[in-house]
Amino acid sequence: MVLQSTPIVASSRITRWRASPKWQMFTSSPLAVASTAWLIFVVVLAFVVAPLVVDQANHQTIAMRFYAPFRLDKGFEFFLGADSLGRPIMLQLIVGARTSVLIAIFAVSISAATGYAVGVVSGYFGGWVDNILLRLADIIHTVPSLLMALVVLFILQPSIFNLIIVLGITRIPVYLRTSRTQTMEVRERMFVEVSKAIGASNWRIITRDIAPLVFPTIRTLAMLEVSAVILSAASLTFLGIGLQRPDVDWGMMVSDGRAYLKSAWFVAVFPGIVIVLTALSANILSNWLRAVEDPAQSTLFFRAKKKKGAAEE
Amino acid sequence: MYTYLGRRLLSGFITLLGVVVVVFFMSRLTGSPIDLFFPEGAEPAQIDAFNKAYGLDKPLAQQFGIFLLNVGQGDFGTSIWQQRPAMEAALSEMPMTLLLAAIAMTISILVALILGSLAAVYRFRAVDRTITILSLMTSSMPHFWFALVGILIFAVQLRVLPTSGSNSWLSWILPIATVSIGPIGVLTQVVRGAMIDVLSSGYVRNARARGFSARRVVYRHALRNAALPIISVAGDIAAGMVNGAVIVSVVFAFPGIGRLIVGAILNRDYPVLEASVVVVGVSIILLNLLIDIICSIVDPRIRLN
Repeated sequence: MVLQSTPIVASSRITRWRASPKWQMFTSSPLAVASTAWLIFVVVLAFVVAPLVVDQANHQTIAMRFYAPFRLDKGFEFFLGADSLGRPIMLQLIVGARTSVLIAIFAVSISAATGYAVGVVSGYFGGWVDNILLRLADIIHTVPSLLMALVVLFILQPSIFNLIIVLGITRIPVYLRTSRTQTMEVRERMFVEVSKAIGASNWRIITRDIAPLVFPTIRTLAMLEVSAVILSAASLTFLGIGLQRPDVDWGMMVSDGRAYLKSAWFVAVFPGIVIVLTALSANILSNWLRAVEDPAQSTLFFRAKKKKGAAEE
Repeated sequence: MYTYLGRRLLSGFITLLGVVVVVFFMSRLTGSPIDLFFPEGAEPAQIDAFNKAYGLDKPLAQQFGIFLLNVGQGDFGTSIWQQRPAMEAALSEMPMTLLLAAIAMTISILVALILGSLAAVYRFRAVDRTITILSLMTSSMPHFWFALVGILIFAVQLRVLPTSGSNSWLSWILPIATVSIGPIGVLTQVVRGAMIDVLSSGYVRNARARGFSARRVVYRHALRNAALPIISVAGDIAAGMVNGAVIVSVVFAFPGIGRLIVGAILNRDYPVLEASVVVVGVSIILLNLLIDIICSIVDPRIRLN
């Protein structure tokens, strides 16, 4: 055991070029595996199962109003109970998953890609464009994100597309600041100097020397932002802004259940649990990624693992 | 120090100007208050009078110019919905939010310092794992859902806390818990990370070698040096507390700027919306300034940048 794990620790400094140690690090962390499994499960529900059950999910059966959960006598779809209009909560959750997953994927991609690209370029060149961009980011940052989204979504028609655009734009400064700061740091390093000396163009230096070094941070940040975006989207739809029936998402379901908290707790509680699980999974994965990306932390982490393994033997 | 302060003040002022401009155009886009205040087919003369009274009949550019002039004098106009000066409405709601944020921030920082340091000292052991999972969990919890579950357990089932209002100190417990739950998780993570960095540094090893007690090393030597990242994240979190205040005002009918903003949006009350966002913006800019000053005192190298 000790003999086997020593090379893993030794090679953790050069993991960038080898797939297997990282995979081993991944499988040795049950939390990371469980989170990934849950996220994959939600995505499969959202894109494979949701289209099949959408009609059934929106079918209202007044007789089934507030049907209590954890009983199978009305069929499996009513296992988690029914809401105020007799819609099966389990199927509503599955259809809601599609909205939340779509928003998370697209909003995070838009903001990460824009913030990353603009941050690297503006950090590299500096100058007045950089100053203006930073100032803009500051302004967006000063108005609290929920407030900004609230105001903008109040103007636009409620739709998944508009939610994506608003959340995508309001989260850009997060990436912009990070990638800009890191670019300014990388820009001063020797290998960039060398690239310049051998006549590489700015474009080549940005895409080959700087962007790849900034990327891991952006990836970790994006994972963290998945959870932030899911929570923001749910807050907005909970406030009744941004989405309209028949579209549904988890925040809207909690908001629907709010009025019946005393008589039917499960209508508001179940969607919340799903939100927490999904946001938590993204958070855990981001945490794990950070530990793996950071050589100092990952050595510590796996040295501790090794010690523990040795103690158990 | 003074040049540094001056530079920060100037940049804060520019940001504030930007916020004012953004706020004006955003609120003008939310649609006309005419649709809300007059029934369909209302007298055109009445609508004209309304437009004139609130300056809505002039072209947008002129409205903006007048707006800037008035804002320069601290005048945001009269609330369309509450019939009182908009600035007065915003300022009267602000103390409640500031109080809520201050209490929540104090609690979050204290809890995070204790839990984060514990996790860092016992890193990768059971204590650390438990604290890390718990802090990830609280930072993954949506405000509104935590608030509802709190109501469900403590107000509906146990009947020990009220569901809404702000009359007794009991009714503050759930709102404060709702606003601080997320920050506790995020801050604990930051404290843990910063403390791990510091604890593995040379001067901590040196302090230990000199024979200081573990407690003294953690609180005197390590925590002070770990303060910088903690302070700057705490600043961001304090600014984000407005988000929590909005949710708290909706779920608990808790007074404060959140309630005013939601009401202003629903009633298309431009003056109040503009005034409250500017008040929030000024508070956040002042907060950032304060954070910058604290950071530059903790680490004087920052001033030279």
